[in-house]
Amino acid sequence: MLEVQDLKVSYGRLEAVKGISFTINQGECIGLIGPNGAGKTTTLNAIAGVLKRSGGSIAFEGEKLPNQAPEATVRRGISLVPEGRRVFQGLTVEQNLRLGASIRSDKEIDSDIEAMKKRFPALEKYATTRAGSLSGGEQQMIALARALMARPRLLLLDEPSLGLAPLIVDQVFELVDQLRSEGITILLVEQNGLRTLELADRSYVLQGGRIAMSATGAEDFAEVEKAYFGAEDSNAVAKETAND
Amino acid sequence: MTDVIQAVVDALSLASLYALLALPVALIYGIMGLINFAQGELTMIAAYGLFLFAAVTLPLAVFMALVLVVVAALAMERVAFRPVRNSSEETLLVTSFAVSFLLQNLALIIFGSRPKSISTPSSLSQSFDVGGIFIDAVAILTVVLAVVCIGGLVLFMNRSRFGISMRAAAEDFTMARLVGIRANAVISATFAIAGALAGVAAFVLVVQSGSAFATMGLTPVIIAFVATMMGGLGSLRGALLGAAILGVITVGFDQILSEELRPARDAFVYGAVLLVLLVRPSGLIPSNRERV
Repeated sequence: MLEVQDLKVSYGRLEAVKGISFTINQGECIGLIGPNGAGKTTTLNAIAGVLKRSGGSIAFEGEKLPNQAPEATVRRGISLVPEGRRVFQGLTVEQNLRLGASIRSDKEIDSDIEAMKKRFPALEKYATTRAGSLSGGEQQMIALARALMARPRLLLLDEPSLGLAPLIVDQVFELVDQLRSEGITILLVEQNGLRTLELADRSYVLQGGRIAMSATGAEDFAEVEKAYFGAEDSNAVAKETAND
Repeated sequence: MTDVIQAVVDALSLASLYALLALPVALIYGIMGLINFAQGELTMIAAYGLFLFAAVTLPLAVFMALVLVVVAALAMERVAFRPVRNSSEETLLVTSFAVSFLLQNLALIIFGSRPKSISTPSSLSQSFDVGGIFIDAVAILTVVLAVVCIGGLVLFMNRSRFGISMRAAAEDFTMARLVGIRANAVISATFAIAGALAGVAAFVLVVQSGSAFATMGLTPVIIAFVATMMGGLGSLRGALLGAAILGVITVGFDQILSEELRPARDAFVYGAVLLVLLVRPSGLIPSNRERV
């Protein structure tokens, strides 16, 4: 479904992603894990069109994606839920959801909004409340629901569990699992290595802008730990996971 | 007592004009981080439009001047600002200065340096005596136009799908694009609205002064900039509040300053603005927009 070939992304002279390649098949959930600065968010942003790539190619559903604007990428069926949620704080929850359907003009938008409210009961309760006044967990639900309103075929999730309480983190991972079982293909960027390994069909560990290794499940965790931070600090990922 | 009511009426009228000038500056900054000093030249273009179309009836002339200035605003965005849209705020600012000077000099070449006189109906220069309070027809016109424009803009931004998209874009431009809102459409619409507001402000200024000249946009854009800075750059409510306060303190100093000090009124006004900014450096209602 998505083929990333030798992707390179630079910020000025600094090359943040140094030629990574991976493939995602229809219905898969793929994890991208790694420490801060490994190039995970940069990779997602390049796929979503927020950042221009300096080299390589991306093909989606068999067609090459040009270095296009984000509003064009979402029209192709790829939605990004960025790090930090970035809900439109001054707008109501319902307005946020409606904006998620900006690319649609069909008559099912209203019924989709109702479906989102059923799926995320907090959104029903606070439909007319300003999104910025809700908690981090509730804002994450708005961000996810807003992305789903575009009816994406590929969902890019950037650190959806970041800064959330453990109970909410569980809900987020359950939700990602549900979405996958509904047939949405997911590319999940996470620092929570163990949870991602457990959930994803396959995970790639990014280190210094390159793919250091790929893993298929929690049984690869020890090996991932080594690739994650290198040999010196193999406990770090476990600590980070424990903190989450 | 009549003095106080007179001052309130004057302040309301001045604040209304300042609001018409400040809103487009705040709107454009909110959407794309551009402090558009060439907004003053849009006012100038609309005023020359009123001069050029003076032969037809006034409503038609106003309509044609509005069309002219909206087209000019769209062209300004397309030709000058779109190519540098992703540049730093400094680059955008310098570009806006360049556009401003270019348009001023173009007007000097086309229309010369002498102001062009524009006649407006005498009914607009009338003054009404309401129990000892003098109310100019142009003051009523200014307040009505400001209320209609601000009310229309508020309705548009809160009720229409496109207006809500514009608010989303003003808050987080990249996120707005990620949900599929087209950047070009939002920015073009913003410039079109800014052009239309410049046209309305130009009409008021022409009725007040009876003329159009090449540098007539300078003072309005400085007032607009000061009002938006004081209110909180990028915040529409802030721009309205800044315009209101600027109008009130201008009329206030007019009232309280002695005859000898009155020529230096603006020094007092901008001194007060400085004080506000010292206490609230981000303005009274800071915008929470992120730089794109």
